[in-house]
Amino acid sequence: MLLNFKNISKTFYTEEKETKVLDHISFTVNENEIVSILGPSGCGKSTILNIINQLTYPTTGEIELTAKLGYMFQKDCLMPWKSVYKNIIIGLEINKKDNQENLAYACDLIKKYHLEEFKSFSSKQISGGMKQRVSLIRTLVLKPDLLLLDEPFSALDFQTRLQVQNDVYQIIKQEKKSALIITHDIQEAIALSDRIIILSNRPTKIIDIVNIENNFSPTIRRKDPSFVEYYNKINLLLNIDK
Amino acid sequence: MKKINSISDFKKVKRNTKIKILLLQLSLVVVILLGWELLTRFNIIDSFFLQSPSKIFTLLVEYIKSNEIFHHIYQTTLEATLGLIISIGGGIFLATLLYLFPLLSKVLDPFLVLLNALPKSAIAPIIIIWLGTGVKGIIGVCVSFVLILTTINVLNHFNNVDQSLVIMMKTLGANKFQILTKVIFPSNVINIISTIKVGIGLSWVGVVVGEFLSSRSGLGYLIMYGGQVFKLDLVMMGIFILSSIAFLMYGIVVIIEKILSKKYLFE
Repeated sequence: MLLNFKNISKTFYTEEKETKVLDHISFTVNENEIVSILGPSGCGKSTILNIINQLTYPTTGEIELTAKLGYMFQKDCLMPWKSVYKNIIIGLEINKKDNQENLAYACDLIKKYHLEEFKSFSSKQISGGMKQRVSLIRTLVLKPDLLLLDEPFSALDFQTRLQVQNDVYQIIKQEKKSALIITHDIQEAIALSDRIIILSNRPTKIIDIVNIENNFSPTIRRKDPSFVEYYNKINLLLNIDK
Repeated sequence: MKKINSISDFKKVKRNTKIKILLLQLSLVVVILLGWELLTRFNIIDSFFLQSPSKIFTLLVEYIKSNEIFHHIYQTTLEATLGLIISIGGGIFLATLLYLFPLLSKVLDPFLVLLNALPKSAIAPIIIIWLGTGVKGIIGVCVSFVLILTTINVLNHFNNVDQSLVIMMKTLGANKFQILTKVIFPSNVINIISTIKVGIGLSWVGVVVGEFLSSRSGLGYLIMYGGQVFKLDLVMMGIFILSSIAFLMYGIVVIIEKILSKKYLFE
């Protein structure tokens, strides 16, 4: 087990009022598993993320984290003055791990995921989808166990989004990583996850946890008849909550 | 209007427009100088108040022949350049300090605003008394004109850096110093250049004010002296040289900006 969220509640206090954001949330993320957290906007998805990366702490409950974390954001956060390659190895530079072995690993990833010919391009010159791929590889270079993806596709246009979802899925599975994806897009959750945690409106509880019983890639999943069934089931769950 | 059907057409049109603008600018200069010369030559304007360009030019040639002018130019340019360098360096240093320590920044904020709002020429006499009447004093006055503005400007740019880049760096494990050198500085290269551009103008104002107050050489001194003895051709010659050098300095910075833009301009 990489991450264990045990009965966590979180309340924010201001001078006027207290806001209960999370209400007894429990879930786990295991090795080689992609888990999505799906919920309406403002339901405290980001709070869950902030508790995991220790930017904030739970009011009650406990978190067990044994994994090394990697991040991917909505924005690609590439540095426009650096080349694709320099962007990818920035994490190694910062942690003073830019030795031959790690740099070779970075180059392997670059080759494997078809960025070799764009290595020396400025990150201004490549497409949005490619930028997201670069940003994923930038975090993979540091060999994390668990990737936290915070709405990683919502800045992309529809066609690119499908493409990048597929790429990201393949990369995560091939590199045998785990991922926790924060999203409000039902289709995205079904296409990518092994398990979907469905959250209610505030104060946020877990409505249900849905297991996706196939190992297809996102593109194939979207064509599979089960896709619509999952969609209807989850949509219903979210609507009942309203 | 010529139709654009190829890259070479596009280049040609672009170049022609450029040449046209340059020619118009040059002819504007010629018209102004000629008009000025004629107005004074035929005494439509009293040639005492507005010295004719030819007279100013003759004086300039005289000063060049006697080698006297170079000494003044050297003095003032040295002061302005050093003043600018100290101010920009100091401003970036102070802004960095304030960026790294937000509490310090909050505490000092009203004082910076006050210092910036203060008419600098009012404190110039004090600075000259503190630092002496030589080059040091004048550079001091120059720095007092440029430093605070630079600090406020640069700090403002630092605080406006894309926060998602900063957060990304934190998730990769960067410390404050690394965020500074790898994100804050590189993303503000062009902003710092534009601050330098504003600083150039101010640094010349600072130096001339300093030289007005106390000096025995320099272009500011020439202008001041010319005014006192009613030699307006000397004053205008001084102004002409001042603006030429300031223009030249500005040009150099624009060239540097062009080179750096290739890497550091993002839009």
